[in-house]
This record gives sequence, structure tokens and C-alpha cells, in this order.
Amino acid sequence: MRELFPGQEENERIYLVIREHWFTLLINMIIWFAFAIVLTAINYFLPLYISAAALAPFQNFITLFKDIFIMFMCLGIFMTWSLYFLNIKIITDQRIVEISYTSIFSHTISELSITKIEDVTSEVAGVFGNIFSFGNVYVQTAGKEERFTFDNVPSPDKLERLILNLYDQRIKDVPNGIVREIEP
Amino acid sequence: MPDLSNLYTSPGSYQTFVPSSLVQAITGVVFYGALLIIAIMSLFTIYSLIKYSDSKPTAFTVTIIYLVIFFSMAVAGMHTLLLIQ
Repeated sequence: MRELFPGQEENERIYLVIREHWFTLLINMIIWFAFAIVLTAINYFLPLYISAAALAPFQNFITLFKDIFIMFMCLGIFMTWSLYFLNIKIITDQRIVEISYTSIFSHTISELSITKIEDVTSEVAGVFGNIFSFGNVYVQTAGKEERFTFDNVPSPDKLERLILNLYDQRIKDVPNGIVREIEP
Repeated sequence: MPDLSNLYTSPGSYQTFVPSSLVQAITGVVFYGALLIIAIMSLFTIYSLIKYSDSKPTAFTVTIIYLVIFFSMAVAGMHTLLLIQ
């Protein structure tokens, strides 16, 4: 079996690999495409107002500047998509794993045992959140880390239900409020 | 016709950038400097993407699309640079 995260056990069953909703990627991409609009505007309006810009030698400098601009823009789009693609949450029958990239050079991996879950809350907020059905899921834990947050995930209510179902499968109540894990 | 003699020496051979004027040299340093920064950032991104992604085919496909665009723009820039005298 292919390892998705460090420490993955052989018999561990992966239920869900989830990323942020595509709408958040779209918003980030729109910012980059705004640069493309700026470039198109420069391309169109500059020769109208500065006629020398359309003639050699200035034309070549402008063309070269546009080349560099487009390359930086493509790199930005590529990095934005890569960060979106690499930021994943994995839900298995034993734990929840969050692989979080703040930049290409640094990433953190957080883990939470299903047995440590105390409370799961889903939240859908905003106009687009309601239209496209995405939102946040907060997982309250018994450990030091207060909350484990899934930001802008699709169908947060289903995710909440899945986590609670996995918790129910994993945990069995025993007398005196002590919990024990069920053998897989 | 632009003089591309300092780029192509003979069919099948390729000569590195040899500036023919000070303006071209300064522009070349700026262009290749930017190209170097972009290339380094691209390499790091591609490395992380291919190493850590959960779907290698998607990572490879997007990487190839990006590289095609990057090299196209880089070559276009190199040609434009030679037109600057």
C-alpha cells in the first residue's frame, strides 16, 4: 500500500483525502489572473498613449519585460496550485492527519487520534459557502491542542458525520467513563 | 532582419549569450537573473510537488504543462534579448 503520510500503518484504512474547496483555489487564481488583465491593459493602452513604445528599440524592451512578467505570473499560478494540491487532510480509521504547507519550503504534519476527539462542529458561513456548500469543521480534542480545524472543506456536514461515525466505530464506552480502543 | 549571428553559429550548434552592446549586456543580466530566480523557485516547487503529492500522475501532468510554458517563454525572451542593440 502506498504511504500517504509518515507513520502510516499497513492495516490503516484511509477513508478520505480531502483538500480545500475548489472555490478557494479559484479566488487565489483570480488574484493571479488580475495580473494578466494588467498585462493585457498595458499591451493595449501603452502604444495608444506612448507611440514610441510600439517602435524599436523600446518595443523589444517592453516585449522582454512582458516575457519576464508572464514567467513570474506562471510561476505564481503554479506555486498557488501546488500549495493547494499539497495541503491535504487525511481521515483514516485511526487518526486524522493534516499536512499543511505554508510555503513550498516548509510544511507541518499534525496528527490527531480518533480516540481523543471530544466534539466535532461543522460551520457553513457566507454567501459562497452556502451556494457551493463548503465551510469549516472544528474538531475539539482532549489533548493540549484545543481545536483541529479543517478550513473551507467541501460538505462540512458530511465530514462531521464521517468523523463521528469513525469515532463511534473506534471507541466503545465502558463503565466508570473509561474508554478503550476496539481492536481493528 | 534582426542579427541573430551571435545565437546561431552553424546548424545544430548553439552559442551562449554574447552581448554585442552595453545595453544588451545590462538587459541580459537582468533577464537571465530573473530567469535564474524563476528556475530555482520552479525546481523547488516541482521537487516538493512530485515528492509529496498523493497523486503522482496529476503532479507530473501539471509539471509538464508548466515546463512547456516556462521554456517557451524563456526561449522567446532569449530571442527578444538578441533584438536589443
